[in-house]
Amino acid sequence: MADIQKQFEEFHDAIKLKRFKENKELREKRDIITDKIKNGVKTKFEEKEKDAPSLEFIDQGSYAVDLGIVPEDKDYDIDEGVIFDLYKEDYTDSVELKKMIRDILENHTNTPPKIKNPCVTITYSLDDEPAYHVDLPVYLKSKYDNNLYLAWGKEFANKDNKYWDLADPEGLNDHIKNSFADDAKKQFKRVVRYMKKWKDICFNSSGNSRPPSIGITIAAVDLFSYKQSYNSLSGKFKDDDLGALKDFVSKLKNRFMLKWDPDLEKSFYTIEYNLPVQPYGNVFSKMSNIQMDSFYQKLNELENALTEAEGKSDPHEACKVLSPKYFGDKFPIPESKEARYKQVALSSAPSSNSAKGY
Amino acid sequence: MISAEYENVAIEIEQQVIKVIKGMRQEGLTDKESGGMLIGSILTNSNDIVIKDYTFPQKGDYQSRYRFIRREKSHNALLQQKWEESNKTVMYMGEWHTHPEIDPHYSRQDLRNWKKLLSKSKTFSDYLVFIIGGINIFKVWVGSRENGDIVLVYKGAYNESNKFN
Repeated sequence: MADIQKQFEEFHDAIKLKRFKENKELREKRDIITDKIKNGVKTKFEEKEKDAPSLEFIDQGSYAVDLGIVPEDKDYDIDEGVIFDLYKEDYTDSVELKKMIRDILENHTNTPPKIKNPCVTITYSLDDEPAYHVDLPVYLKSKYDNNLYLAWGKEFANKDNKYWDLADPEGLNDHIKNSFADDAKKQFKRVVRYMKKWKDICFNSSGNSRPPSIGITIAAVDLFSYKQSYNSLSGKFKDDDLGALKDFVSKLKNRFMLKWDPDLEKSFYTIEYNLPVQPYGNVFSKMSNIQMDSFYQKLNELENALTEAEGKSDPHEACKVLSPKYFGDKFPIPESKEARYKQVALSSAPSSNSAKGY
Repeated sequence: MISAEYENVAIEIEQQVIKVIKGMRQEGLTDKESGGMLIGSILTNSNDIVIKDYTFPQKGDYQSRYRFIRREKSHNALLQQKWEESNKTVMYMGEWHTHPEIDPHYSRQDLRNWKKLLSKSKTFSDYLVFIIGGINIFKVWVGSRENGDIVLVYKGAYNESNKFN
């Protein structure tokens, strides 16, 4: 069995996205936006001769939980929640405050801000290409409970498509951050990043054919288990990312259920994974039956590839199974022992008797 | 790394092999002879030889000032282990031992021993490499398993920069 832990860890170093702490540029962009929003909200409320509400910001998404990867075919994305100290009961139109934020940031970037269903999106461009975007979900409080409510809806949507949706962004961050500790946590993060990279490489980026990252992450919190391998020669244990990844892929695959689709008159493998916090919905709900079934088939292929890699004796051969087909060309392939040296039968020599003298 | 040539075959000896011989050379007046197997591989595309591993004196070997006897069993067991770990690419490639002299020469016993190893060892390689590590100088001979000829192919100081000191 080939040991390719070194290659997995090199691959991880190549795809890992640095956190805010280490990434000054993104941190500054975030702070410029949050400062603009703070000042802008104050001005807007004063114009209406109202008391400006206090604002809180919360880091969300892969940055907040340190699970980001360097994007392959898209721009960097930062998620920053804006929490108004206001009550939803005083705002029947859930899009009103999103419009306010859009207006505040109107001239901040060349590409104008856009109001999407769950957030306001600010896009920064570099040479006319989107370099990264900041998604700003907007939350309010309620007079009657301690929950947060997400402002859902687009600008010109009808009433039915604009509403306040229960949410718990902090609870979600904590759920992910507190799931594992120490070396297990490190391997958990690596395995999630391997899965995210696989998703970027093996799925079409359009529409919802790619399973959402939050779905993979929530499933990993639930299903991941820490794996080490024992080296009988050195007598030591070391992390076994291949084993942990394969274990997670098989467990995730086993969560799919065969479901009959009466419209298409066909059975599909489908998956449901509920958000562990409010609003507890299925994290894969945006995917169609066909997309979920293709997700299942691709997991199956990945599981087979990992099993095949595990069975190779030469690390070169093992890595060639995985790279670039499943994880892209950032996954290193070491030089082949077999290609370099001849394989030979076991040799032996009789005893040797040497002496200085005559 | 040291390179030598013998009958159109390039022989490379990796630094860690020279380093272990250097470490066991008989500098002190009471230092005993050491020795062991040389282990290496043959390149697929060129038949060139790379010596990259070794064994060193094991429990049961005989070591005195002027004699070293390497036993068969313990060293062959090590060889087998290294062969398995290398994905079956390493093999027996010859023998090294030390001499308590500045510039080493082989003895009649050494020559008899090498001839025996050439004829009695079981290995894929057509050639065996023999190294004697003196105090300042080490020498490398290559022997043909086909005709028993043994030729000196390299002579050098352990540290090239000290060569003329």
